[in-house]
Amino acid sequence: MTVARESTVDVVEKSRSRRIWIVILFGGMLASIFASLAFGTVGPIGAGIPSRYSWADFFNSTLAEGPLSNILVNIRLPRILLACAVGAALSISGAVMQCLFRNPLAEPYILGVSSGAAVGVSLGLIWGLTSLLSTPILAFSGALITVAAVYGIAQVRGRIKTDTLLLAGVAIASFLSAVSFYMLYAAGKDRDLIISWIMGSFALTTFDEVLITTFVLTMGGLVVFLFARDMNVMLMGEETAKQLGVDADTVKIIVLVTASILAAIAVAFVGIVGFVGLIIPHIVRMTLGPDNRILIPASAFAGGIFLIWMDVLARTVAGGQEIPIGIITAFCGAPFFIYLLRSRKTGFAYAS
Amino acid sequence: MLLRIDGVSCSYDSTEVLKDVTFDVPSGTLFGVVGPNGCGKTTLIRCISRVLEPIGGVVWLDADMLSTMSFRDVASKVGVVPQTTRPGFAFTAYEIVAMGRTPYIGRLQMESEEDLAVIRGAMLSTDCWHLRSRMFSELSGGEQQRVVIARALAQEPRVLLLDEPTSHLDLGYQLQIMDMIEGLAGERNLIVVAIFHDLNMAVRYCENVVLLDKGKVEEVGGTLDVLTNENIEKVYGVKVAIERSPSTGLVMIVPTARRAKRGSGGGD
Repeated sequence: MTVARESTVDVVEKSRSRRIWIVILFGGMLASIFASLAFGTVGPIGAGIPSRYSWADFFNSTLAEGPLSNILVNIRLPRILLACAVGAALSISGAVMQCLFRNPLAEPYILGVSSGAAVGVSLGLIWGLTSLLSTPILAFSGALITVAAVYGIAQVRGRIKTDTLLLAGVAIASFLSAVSFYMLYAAGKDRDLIISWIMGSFALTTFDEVLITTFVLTMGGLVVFLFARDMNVMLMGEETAKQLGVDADTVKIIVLVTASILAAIAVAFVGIVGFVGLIIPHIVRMTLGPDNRILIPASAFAGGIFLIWMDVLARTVAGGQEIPIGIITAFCGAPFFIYLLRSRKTGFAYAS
Repeated sequence: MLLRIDGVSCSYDSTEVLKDVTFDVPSGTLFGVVGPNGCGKTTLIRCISRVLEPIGGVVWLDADMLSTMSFRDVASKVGVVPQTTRPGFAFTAYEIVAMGRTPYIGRLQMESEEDLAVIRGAMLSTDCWHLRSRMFSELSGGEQQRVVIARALAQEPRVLLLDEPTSHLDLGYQLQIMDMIEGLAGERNLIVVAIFHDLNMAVRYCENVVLLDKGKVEEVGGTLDVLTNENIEKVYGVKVAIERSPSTGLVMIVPTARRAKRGSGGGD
């Protein structure tokens, strides 16, 4: 026993102490949800159109009925919650894909999974299938077909060729985006709808959408978390993982399907928001290490925080005008992607 | 514990890589697998670790057929040290070794005190405990191999499979690693199956070897009974002199001439 105690002193304690970050990030997420209510066209921080409310009004309105309360609770709160859930879903999805494909550049947007989901939802818009259930189901179908296709292309004799995977993903992503935008364009859908698809938008979110997204996020997140240790071992390569007792083929299918569903639910009500799944897991991994048992929950909460504040930017920086959220994430994400590409330590040098 | 390879055949796509391979492996000493490139050595290791399903024959672990065991059961009995280890993303040496406990830890469990003791013991026995908080990718080749052997030992295996454990190491590390494995085999009464390219390493460390040629067993038995001039020339297409060094008493296999055309090996 004394031997064991001695062994827990440094490395183990160090890695276990990182778990506190899950709690800190969760708290930060709750705080962000509340704090971000103050930002927007109406409220204490923002354009102040038609009139500015004071901080006192802001705090009072959380208790009393009134026009400000109506805006905050029925319009702003759902979009904040949806941004949070979408950020979490995309981050988990990205963390999983980076892990399974053993490449820091893998994520649902770059692998075309988000665009696949978008094609599904666009079909729904054209066929008039826009109910709260049909939209996510069409998104799931599109995402799963896409991930199967990209995976099939990149697979040679049971091994994944990483370069092919990324290139196939990028090619399929732009092809599918073109398909879904053309479908909407040809069907005579208005320009705003198409733009919100290309760039993503949290405007006009309803509580029902929040509920469905949060439900799928929670279920998917739990499934992924159950396999976190197995995914750690699979980072050693699938053959080694099997030799260490992990049924790698089964785990890969379960986790990859779940990650695709998470990416799809993010697209279903919001459109395509790129790069979140790339940036967040990567930053978390750089600070907290690659252990998925910490990385997955920490990425989820960090992704929620990130997208809440990106959406705050989207609704405040241009005065009364809304900027599509995808513009902002691409603005941050694309340079980060290039940095990863060039970085010897984290880029292709690490991938095999 | 007994490891018995009984009539095992394996194929990739439609090419048969192993044909009716049969031999027993005793415990406590090193058992070498030798043969020219492409003769099926690595395939054999993959069969014994259950990552490849034989198309015929059975690998027996005592009374259990390997193919009916779960990955988890196999991993608690068979540890594998691959030729190279390149983990995706940056794990510490400790985290790499801790993965050896995978077959013993439930889905929602953390490592128990007992697991931690096993991990520490494994790292101490391969002299890498002091490296525990270093990043695996920043270690030297010899250090990495010691960490990976510790991971295999953390599985508390009865069978240890090594795929050319010293092929990327310099002379000093080669002897250090092999001395260590030899010691572990004796202390823990392990069944150790190791692939060797270097016949002199096999001669130096193995009690018994199996010589493979084109997926078939050429001969199996005591190392010097198998690695004869005739067998080596037949399989590798190389004439050798097998000499006992008068100064060290070690047996050396010294190539003297390459035969113009390989009798059975094919290739160049």
